[in-house]
Amino acid sequence: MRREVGAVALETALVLPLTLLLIAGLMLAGFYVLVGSATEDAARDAARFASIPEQASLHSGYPSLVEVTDRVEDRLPSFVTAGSVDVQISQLPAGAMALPGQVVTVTVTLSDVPLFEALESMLGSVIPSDIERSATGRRE
Amino acid sequence: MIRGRESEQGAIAILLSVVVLFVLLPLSAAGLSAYVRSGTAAELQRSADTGALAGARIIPLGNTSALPPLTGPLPSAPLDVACTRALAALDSDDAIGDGYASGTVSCEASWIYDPSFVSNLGSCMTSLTGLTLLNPSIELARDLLPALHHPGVQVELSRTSEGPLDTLVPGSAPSAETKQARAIRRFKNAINVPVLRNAFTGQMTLDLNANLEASRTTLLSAINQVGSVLSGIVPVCSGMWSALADDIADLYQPSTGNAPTVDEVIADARSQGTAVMAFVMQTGTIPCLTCGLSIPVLEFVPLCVASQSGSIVTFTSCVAQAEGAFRASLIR
Repeated sequence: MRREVGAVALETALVLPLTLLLIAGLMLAGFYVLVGSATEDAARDAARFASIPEQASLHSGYPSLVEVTDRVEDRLPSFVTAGSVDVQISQLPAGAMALPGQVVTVTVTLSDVPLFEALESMLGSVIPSDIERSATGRRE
Repeated sequence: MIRGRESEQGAIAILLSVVVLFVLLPLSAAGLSAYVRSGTAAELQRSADTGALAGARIIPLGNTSALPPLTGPLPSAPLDVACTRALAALDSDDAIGDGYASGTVSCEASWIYDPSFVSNLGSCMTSLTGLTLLNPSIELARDLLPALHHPGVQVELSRTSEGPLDTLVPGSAPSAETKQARAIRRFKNAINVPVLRNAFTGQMTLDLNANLEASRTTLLSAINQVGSVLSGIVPVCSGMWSALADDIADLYQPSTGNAPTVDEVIADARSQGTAVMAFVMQTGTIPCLTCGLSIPVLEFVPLCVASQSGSIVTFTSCVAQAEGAFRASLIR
């Protein structure tokens, strides 16, 4: 009868790298989904924020782009904001003035997130390194 | 078969257990928990918004409790309604985290007011009181004051949520989440055309002819002019009328969309059984021996449609339904 001592060690040596790769892939995919979810939350919160005026100036007290960007950055995890966070606001009907009744869309784009950059360099465009999420609100 | 110390049976099972217990399970737990918490936070915010809007909409017109210089009885209904509606909304919301909420949900509602307005109003009233000639108009203006500011309701909704696998991970605790929403009362059904009061019957009528409809703009200008005149006499009173003018402008000169006609406002109020908020134009006499002057007074009165014959609409006073004449909007 042939001895099987060492067979498990050999199998483990073969399978372990694949297992670790699988776990790392799962972690990264989960991480990617989580960052996407956090970005979507931040965009939704920012759309609400951009739609609501200050009490003292009901018709002109909507937050500026800088204030909305600050709000988004506050809502995102710090490891994400290590990259670049771009926030854009558009309104319909379009116009220079922010007015009640306008539909406002906030688009948050994350780029240059270090981990995603590294992933893209390894896997190509399988996982895009930029994450973009939008949300809308109606100005009160 | 090998027995004893050299047996390798179960080795893979042990390895798999270690990987599942210490890597895959905590990872899944963390991911799912974050997802659930995100869902419950959004749900909490939506519910707080619903409650604040519902509460602010029913603040009665005559309520000045949110104005510290003019403190009156504090009606609890708007605050009660705010929390009841917020909790009901939370209960009926089908967000993913619903089943993972744990602990007690708490709701706190409170009054809010515009501190800068109140501060200006205090200075304005103090200055006006010094002018003996204007004392009676201050009394007359008290009915108008509640319409000049935007009282509101703030709702704070808190609860704890626990991810689906949190209990399996040592050291993982339910997270407490609090969301706040603030809303102010604003006019919805307002008609700013002259309503005439019959001194004998007490009934009020409105003539809905096209010429009078055109008077909206005139009256809106009149409100602004009253503000300007008052500001000219007493500079600290500047801005007192702006909130009212903003509300009326929102209704009749909206920045987007079309404004409703007076007929539409009245038809809506009639079908809903709610009031329209009307400007009633009256003349107040200053009881002063040396002056004998008459001054025009604008007053807000909640009115219900009693009957309509052609363009003539007859109203009755209906304070009880006044809440239907308001809407609410969120503020920061």
